[in-house]
Amino acid sequence: MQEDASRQQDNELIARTQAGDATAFDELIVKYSPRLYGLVYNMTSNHEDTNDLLQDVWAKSYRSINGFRGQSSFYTWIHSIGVNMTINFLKKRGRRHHMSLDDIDSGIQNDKEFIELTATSSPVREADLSELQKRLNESLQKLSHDHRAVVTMFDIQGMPHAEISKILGVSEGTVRSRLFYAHRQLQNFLTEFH
Amino acid sequence: MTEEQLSALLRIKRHEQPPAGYYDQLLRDIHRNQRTELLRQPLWKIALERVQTFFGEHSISHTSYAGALASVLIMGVGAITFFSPRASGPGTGTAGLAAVSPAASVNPSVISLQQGSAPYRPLFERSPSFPTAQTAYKTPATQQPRYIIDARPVSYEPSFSF
Repeated sequence: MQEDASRQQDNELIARTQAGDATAFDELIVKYSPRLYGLVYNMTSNHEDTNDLLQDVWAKSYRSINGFRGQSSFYTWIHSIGVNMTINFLKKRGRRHHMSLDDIDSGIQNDKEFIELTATSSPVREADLSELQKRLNESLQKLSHDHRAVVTMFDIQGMPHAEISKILGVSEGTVRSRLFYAHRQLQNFLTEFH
Repeated sequence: MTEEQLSALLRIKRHEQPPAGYYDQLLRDIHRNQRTELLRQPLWKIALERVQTFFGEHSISHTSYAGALASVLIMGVGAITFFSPRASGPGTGTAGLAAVSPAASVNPSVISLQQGSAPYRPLFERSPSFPTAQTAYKTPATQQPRYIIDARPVSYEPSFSF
């Protein structure tokens, strides 16, 4: 129900944007930027790159908004643009990357979910918090772009398989297979740490 | 590390967010980029966009819009044709100029060298009571007499014909 209302609101904002109302597009930017930020940032691991990519993603979507026909939700559409642009960027960037995740991760230590995790799980409890974060981020960077995208959307952003398959334009089976493989890899990387 | 532990560890990463005020700054940056991009457009594109906006604001149908553009185009072509100098063709241009030239029409010094042709005479004899162009306007000394050789008037100006 809430999803329908959100989609209805999006459709109204898109119609207004297509009619030339730029403030309607601003509302879409405000609404979806936090989720897009999470997606792009967890794939690039760099704040500056994420910032540049977000601007490019919104600029591209604004140029293409007249071609949006509502066949998918705006959420799926903008995430498709975000994922594709980020993967292209990562391919161009190659191995040149510098981690800046630590600048932002400080807020996690106060997170309820994180405190619960570190309190109940004995191997994790023993590990140094910041070291664990750093290790996880490094492990994520070792994954291929496609696998990282799937992990980011499923595990970090909590998207269902069906939504991810629409965004990436692959079957749900492919999404599940990539997830399985990515989890295996991450577990191996992190087991070495313990 | 178990699957559940990994999932839990990854899940907490969704709370990673940029510093406060980041999204306001992002919106400002996007607006600035949009303006910059707009100014980078060529002049004709901006002009076309303004014309489209004008017609859009005044609820003019596509047919009228096309008609108006066609009218502007026709008027433009007409204006160019009207104001541009007429091209000179063989036998009409320079000969016509020689025929209407005040020097040639009123100056009896135009001598025909064509064999058998009659010397120049004015078509209508003017009454001596009316001042003629010759009396009202003195021909400058620098102006050269004109001759016609083989039905082609001689001109001291470059012909521009290649």
